[in-house]
Amino acid sequence: MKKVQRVDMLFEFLRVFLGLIIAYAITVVFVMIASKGSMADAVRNFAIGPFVNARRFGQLMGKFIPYVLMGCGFCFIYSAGRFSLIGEGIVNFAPIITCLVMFKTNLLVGLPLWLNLTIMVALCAIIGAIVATVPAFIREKLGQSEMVLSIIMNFMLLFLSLWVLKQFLLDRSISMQATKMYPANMKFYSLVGTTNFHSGIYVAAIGWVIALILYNYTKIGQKIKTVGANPQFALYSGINAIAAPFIAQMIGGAFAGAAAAVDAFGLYPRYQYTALTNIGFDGLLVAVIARKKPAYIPIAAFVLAYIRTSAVVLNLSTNIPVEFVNMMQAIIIFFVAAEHFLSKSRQKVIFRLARNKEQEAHS
Amino acid sequence: MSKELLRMENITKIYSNGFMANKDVSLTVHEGEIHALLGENGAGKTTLMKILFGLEDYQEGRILIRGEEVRIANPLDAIAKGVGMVHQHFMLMEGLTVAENIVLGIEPGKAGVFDKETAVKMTLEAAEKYNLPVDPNALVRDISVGVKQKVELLKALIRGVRLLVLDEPTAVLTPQETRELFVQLRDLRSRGYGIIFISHKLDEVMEICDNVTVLRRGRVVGTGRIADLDEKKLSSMIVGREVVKTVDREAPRRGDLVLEVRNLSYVDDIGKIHVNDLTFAVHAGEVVGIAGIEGNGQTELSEVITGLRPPTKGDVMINGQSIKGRNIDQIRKLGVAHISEDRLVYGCAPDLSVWDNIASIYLSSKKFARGPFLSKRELNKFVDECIEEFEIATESRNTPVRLLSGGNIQKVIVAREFTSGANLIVANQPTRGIDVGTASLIHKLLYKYTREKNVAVLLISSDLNELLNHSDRLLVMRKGRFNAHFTDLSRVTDELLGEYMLGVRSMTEEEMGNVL
Repeated sequence: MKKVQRVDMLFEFLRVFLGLIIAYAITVVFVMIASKGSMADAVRNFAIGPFVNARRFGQLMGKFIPYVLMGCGFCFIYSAGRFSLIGEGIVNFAPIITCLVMFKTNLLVGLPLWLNLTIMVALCAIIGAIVATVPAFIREKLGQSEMVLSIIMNFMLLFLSLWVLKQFLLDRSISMQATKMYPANMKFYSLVGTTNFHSGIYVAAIGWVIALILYNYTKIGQKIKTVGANPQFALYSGINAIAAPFIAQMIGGAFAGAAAAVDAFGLYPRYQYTALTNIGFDGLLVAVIARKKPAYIPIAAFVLAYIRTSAVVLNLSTNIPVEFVNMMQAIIIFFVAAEHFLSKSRQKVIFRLARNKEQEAHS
Repeated sequence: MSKELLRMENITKIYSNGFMANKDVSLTVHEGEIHALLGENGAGKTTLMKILFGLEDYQEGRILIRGEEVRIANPLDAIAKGVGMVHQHFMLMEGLTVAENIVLGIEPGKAGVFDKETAVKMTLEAAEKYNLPVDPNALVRDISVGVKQKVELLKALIRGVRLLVLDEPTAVLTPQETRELFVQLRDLRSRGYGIIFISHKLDEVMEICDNVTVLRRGRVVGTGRIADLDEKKLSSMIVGREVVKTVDREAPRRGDLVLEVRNLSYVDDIGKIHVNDLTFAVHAGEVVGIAGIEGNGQTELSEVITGLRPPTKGDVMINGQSIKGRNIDQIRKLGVAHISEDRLVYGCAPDLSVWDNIASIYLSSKKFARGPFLSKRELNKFVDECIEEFEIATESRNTPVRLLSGGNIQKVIVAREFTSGANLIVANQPTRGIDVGTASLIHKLLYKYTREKNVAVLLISSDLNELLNHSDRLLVMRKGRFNAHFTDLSRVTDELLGEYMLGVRSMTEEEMGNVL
């Protein structure tokens, strides 16, 4: 069986890896076809665009930071066998409530930056966890689809956030819908010049470590994995098959809140979300690429941040629109999430192994 | 020699976990032949038939129908090629009439409008032609099991099937219905139909079949004319060993009362009574067996005791404490271990590792825990010890359970349950469909734990050999109640047990004596 396990793991890896490569290759081909200018330029912009200067790389890191946190959160939700997409709405909602604290109370005034940031991230995480209990409750207690409800709730949260913004926090001195500038001691600072590569990276790093520990070393992490893998077995083993996925969704919400904090207070000078950010869905994609394992989240988050940044670079430097490259996302999901991709070849290899073993046993 | 209808040649099927379900299996059926396919549970009969019916893929070999090589893609394809299957569990629409079921998928009518009259006419014609009388207008849910089977047969025949696969057709029939079925099968045989007859009942096979193929562990171990064989030869071909009671067992030293069931009833959501006012007990140090034909409430009983189902009436006491108001975790902590009959649904999580599958019952306990954290080092050591003690053939503790063989999966489950520190083990079909080696390991463990560690065991099984060889007392369950109670198993035979299981005999309460 030793070899079978190795083959199994190899194909698991190949599925993700080849899925990414194929998606990438298809996109490059389309970029070549679609580019009206120099084909080589388009491909170069797409492939190495994000790395040619500090500003672009900063842009990549700016996306990478919330992806790590959101992806970690999704690992828990997804591992419990749930598909709550509430993270998307939390990105809009958690920071606007934090802004209320920021602008309407004196709690954070005069505190040192590090303490403020800690409070802000924690506050966003708590709000995220609380918001996530709604679809969790609907699913675990009432037996309705957490996915449908969370998608509806995302829009409710978006409009609720906009209402809070307009009602209480709007900066009337500018033409866009946004709050006032964040005070200097209440936002993440740039690590490299004036790029988007900001100190939220520390939050991402700490969050990742917490996710790793929670997922791999705690009782609740183990319960979540067990319930997700086989709910009946979990029940039979004496695990509370309602509480574990409920908590998983709260953990997911907390990580989504943290992702919201690093994005809202890291990339922008003021709260200016007027639409859904797509970070929630990207987080799901990151978790899918990482095969729901927090250990692989940074790599997966980097890959996705790279692709997304490439798309923007391409958009700015050629005639190819962002949406064009974003279809790559669909192709990635198609390959990575498709259980049957490569299953024929996997089956063949395992068949051969079993045959050989059989012959060895006879000789 | 009549014409060849089906030839399966050197079929090899390996499941995605590397398990070889069929290896170089060949099977030939001629027109006008009833061919028995025999083998123990897990021998590969079902897999072979699923391949024939297009439900499973296969890696090697070929299938020829009337001498022509075919690749059967799905059941519709199989039916089009003349292969029909009557499943053990009928595939009928309960709310539709007999005629509607029979023409399902080939409904007569014009422009999408169902022509019921023609359907009834088609049914009556077929019923007469094949001598299978049915009432076309009766609702399927109102007809008896025997008639349902006729409907299944007609359903296949009306579609022009020439080869019928019958999967344990008599398992659900009364003796009279069985007689009737055999008359009909002989009739079909005389009309040139080929029939593959899967059964565990050797007397029936001897009576009705012409040829036989016996499978064991996915391989053909024997094939031949029934006329040249007898039941004894067949049975030793099937099991590959002599069926004898040879285990030396010391008499149990009965200790304290561990499991006490008092007037327990279980009624399901639709009002079916599965467990009807049962009272019995299991003491420390003894194995109490429960025999019975499957579906007489044994599984429900074990699931109520272990907390998977709530009792409707009565109570279950474990080590003196009631299970009422306790969840599964709390019931486990009272001292219950459970080997579920459905090992891939309840017994394990196939995608998780051996480690995960053993750790699952410790996630709410203080053992192996440091506050909210799991003590990985201790658990690693514990799992490694389990792997060694229970001889689990796995590369490492991190190997997903789905990559193990059936026997080794069961060893993982047994290792987890036996080491849990429980003093009551509820073992439901602990050795069904697994290899002889693992089965004997489990039997040894049951014996060792009762004799050395004073554990109480409730053993539920449909394998009479297992029950007779490894129980200290034996209860027979029928229709949710006990029908017999044996304290001295040395004089109990399979036949006698069978008569109680079938309800041919039944003991009075006085005869059963003290079941506590």
